[in-house]
Amino acid sequence: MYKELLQKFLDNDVSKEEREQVIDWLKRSSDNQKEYSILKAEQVARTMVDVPDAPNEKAYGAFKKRRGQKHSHSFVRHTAIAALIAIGFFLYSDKIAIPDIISTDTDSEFLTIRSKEGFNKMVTLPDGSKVQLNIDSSLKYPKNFQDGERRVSLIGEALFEIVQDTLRPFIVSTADYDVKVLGTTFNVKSYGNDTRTETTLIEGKVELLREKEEPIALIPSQRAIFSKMKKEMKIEEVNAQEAIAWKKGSIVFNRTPLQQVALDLERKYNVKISIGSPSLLRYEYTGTFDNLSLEESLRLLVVSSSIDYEMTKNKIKLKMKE
Amino acid sequence: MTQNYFYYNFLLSLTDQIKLWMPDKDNNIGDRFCDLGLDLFTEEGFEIVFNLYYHRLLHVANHYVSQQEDAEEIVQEVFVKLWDKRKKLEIDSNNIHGYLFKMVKNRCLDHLRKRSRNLSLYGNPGQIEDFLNFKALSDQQASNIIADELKEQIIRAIDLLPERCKMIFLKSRAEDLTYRDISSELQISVKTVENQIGKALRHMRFHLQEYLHLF
Repeated sequence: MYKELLQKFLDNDVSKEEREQVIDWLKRSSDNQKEYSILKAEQVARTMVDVPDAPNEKAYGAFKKRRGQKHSHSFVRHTAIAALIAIGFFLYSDKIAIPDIISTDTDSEFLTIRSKEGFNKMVTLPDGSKVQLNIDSSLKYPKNFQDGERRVSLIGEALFEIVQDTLRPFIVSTADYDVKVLGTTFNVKSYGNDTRTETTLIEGKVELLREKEEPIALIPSQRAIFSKMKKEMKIEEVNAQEAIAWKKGSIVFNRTPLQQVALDLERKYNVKISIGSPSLLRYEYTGTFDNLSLEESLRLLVVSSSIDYEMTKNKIKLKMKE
Repeated sequence: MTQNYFYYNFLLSLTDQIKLWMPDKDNNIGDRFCDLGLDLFTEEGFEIVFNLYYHRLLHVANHYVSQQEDAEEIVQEVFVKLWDKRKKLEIDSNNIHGYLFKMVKNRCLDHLRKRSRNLSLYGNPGQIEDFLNFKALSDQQASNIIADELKEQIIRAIDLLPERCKMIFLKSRAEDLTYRDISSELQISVKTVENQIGKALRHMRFHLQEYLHLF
């Protein structure tokens, strides 16, 4: 078989008759097929070039979408990877007064959403990302995400499910550090009152950015705890699902100092809780309060620990059992 | 004594001269990735591999699978599989090259097999085309031709990566290695080392100029 004819066949540059000729020739023996195979391979090798036809970024973007789809769960409507980061602040100082009302301040291009005491609130951002605010929390964000980033400010606690957009990284600003999201679901807990800021990553990847400090990257089930006093960051392995149990109305304590237990209960039930003695502040409590009323929670606390309580009007005092 | 010393140096410089005309030794791709410190677990590392291989693998798939969308799908899926396997620690920079080509080849063959139950030269034009492509790709000798070309191109492309240039530069400055040391460590010619270092210096000088006006 003439090489030129075969080459024309490969280039699809043949008449109907020529095509029939080649196919007849190929039908005759497997040696002929082999000769064809090799010729074709040489052509493929010869035409392989260094430079792609289309820029690779597009293809890489498509690839990222594809691999992300494998991990999305029912919560996410878009093909995005959601990250849950829980950031918690624990401060033993005066509570920041947050008004009772759900308000939407509109000052120029920014919106601020506040959650009412005792209730969670769900917010959908301009890019489709979802944020669930815990009690006493507020989120400030622009009406439209512009430029190269999507930046929001958080006071309190929120669960973020961020729509993937590699061109515009998502950044949560809190008082102590920025959380840069690389396509994830994360819970941020950053209450002004608390002495710590916590960021818990459930899925995906985030980076914590502080001025003049090296960024810290988290992988799933890691929690970064920033101590405001010591200005130190500590990383822990945690059960991520417990960190976001608040979504369903549960509070989970895992060797949590009583000081923090009190703060969380105060927030949830809108009561004032004081602790009888300074040594009790560091008492570590472990337990889960699944959608309980205040009385039920207090009773559970008594039954499951050495803590007792006294209640007068709306004030509760925790003390050691006698 | 001194005579031996000069003689020794003379021999060494001779071998350098020879290396000037010798092509760089065909270093294993895995070694090259290793030298680069390529980390598949990082997004950056993975993207480097993606940019090296994607369009070349797509080129191959396009020639054996009739529909372009199918070819794209095949190659994309291979990278997703790679992403997952790398998490399970089944793939690293040492076996990634063989894995990628084999996967693309096999998936193309699977695709061709699925398209018609009876691949033969006696069907409709589509079946004939699929049959020919199937035969052509499954032929070991033929696919080796493609695999070899791919390997050569990848090696050349890696050598051109800015990361590689930086790595060589750092070996010379930070690790304080001589060009000869670097040349024998990486199995490349001294000339290549010189070129890469020159490239790095030009790159730095160019960017420094942007800051010079501050002084």
